[in-house]
Amino acid sequence: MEPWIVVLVIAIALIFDFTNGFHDTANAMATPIATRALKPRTAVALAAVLNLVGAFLSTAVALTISNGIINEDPSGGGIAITPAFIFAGVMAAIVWNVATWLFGLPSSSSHALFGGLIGSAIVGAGLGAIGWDTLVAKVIIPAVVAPLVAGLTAFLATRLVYAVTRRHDGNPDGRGRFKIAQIFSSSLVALAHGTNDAQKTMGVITLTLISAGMLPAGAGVPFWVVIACAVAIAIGTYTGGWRIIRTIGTGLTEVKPAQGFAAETSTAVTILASSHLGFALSTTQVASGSVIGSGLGRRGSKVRWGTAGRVAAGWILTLPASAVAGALFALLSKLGELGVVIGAVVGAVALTAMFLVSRRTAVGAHNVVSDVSEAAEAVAIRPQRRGKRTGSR
Amino acid sequence: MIDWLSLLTVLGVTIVASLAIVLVVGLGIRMLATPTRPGRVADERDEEEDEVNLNGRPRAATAFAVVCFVAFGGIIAFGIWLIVPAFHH
Repeated sequence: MEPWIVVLVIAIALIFDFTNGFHDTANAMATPIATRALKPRTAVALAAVLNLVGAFLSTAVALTISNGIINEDPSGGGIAITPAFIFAGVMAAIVWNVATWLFGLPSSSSHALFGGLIGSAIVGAGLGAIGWDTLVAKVIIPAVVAPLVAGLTAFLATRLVYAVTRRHDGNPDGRGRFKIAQIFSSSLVALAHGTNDAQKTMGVITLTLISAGMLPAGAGVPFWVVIACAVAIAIGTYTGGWRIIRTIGTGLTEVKPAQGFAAETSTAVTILASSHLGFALSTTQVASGSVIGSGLGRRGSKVRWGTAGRVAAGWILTLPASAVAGALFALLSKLGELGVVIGAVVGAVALTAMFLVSRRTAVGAHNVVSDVSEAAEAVAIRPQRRGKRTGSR
Repeated sequence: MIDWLSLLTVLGVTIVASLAIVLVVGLGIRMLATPTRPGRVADERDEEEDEVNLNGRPRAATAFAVVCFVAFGGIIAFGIWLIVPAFHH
């Protein structure tokens, strides 16, 4: 194995880690930014620090990239996962992550990574390389369950929080104080994210080093890998996927402090309960489901189903689309080292092109919540019914 | 293939825990918003007595709010305990 391919895969893996960070800032911080509980820059800085800390907190990194979706162990009759394979899968995941960011879609980075690797493995080793049962049990079913559990919980939590704080005498209800509570609930989401997601990249890099013979089989994660991954995801988080923050924070529904707190609490609890009771759910899908549920739960708010539909379409497309991209990159990798180089160049050109397109309508800390009405107009599917809206509750 | 038991467990635990958390914080915030007498407006006598505070709330309400926020702090600590593997493995 050429050392430069290993270096290339590590670089690509860290770039994926970066995109994972900026894609997922929104999960924790979109709602506190939307209610102005935190200033946009403060929010992403807080999330970045918590992701950095979270990445160091986890002691056991699962040394599997795909959790059994691809048979990674050559001794067990499966495929030998070579760095060229990993390169194709991770490159596809990056391209899909950046593409969904361009459209402001909160898609799952895990699904993108799994999809890329699945496509790459099918090209490299055939359909038999995929554990289809595991795919259904660990990816497809949780993807359906996550928004439903989080949405139902957030709906009920929002109803309850408004019922408890409702005042019938016309005095101020003090719901603005939920902004302070929001800081805690969203911080928990960010910390939980850091402990989970940076580990994926640590696993990718460590497995690459093992398969290249640079680490003995069964070796743990080298400390420099932990540092590199923690820093990459933190920088990504700080960069802030503002387009996605806008979609979750203001695109799906208008979020008020009490409602935001209910949504973030539902997100944090859903993630913690699922990861500790054996039904791991995607942070991204949980967070979006919570926001929609809370929008349904608050009187006088409305959910923009047009945007919700686009988000759902993004979820459904993520796995197959990144699988197709992974397969294409894997076809290039089959040409040998030259193919890997061509793949890297093609990927870099695609990323640059998407970045340049994004500059035309830049979304940043300055305008992430100020164009709310404009965004609402763009996605509104039906005119407001008169007398139905009760105003700013 | 679907692990219904763990799915229902997750659903039940999530709903119960989330409702408990928003109830605690909601009650605390409601208590902070308690004025001396609901709907009371200033009368002439109030204007003569400087110490009358229309927005002052009963001590009991403040104390209850503090209890609620301390409980919320405990829940946050438990959440961190759950997130950090070193604490529970």
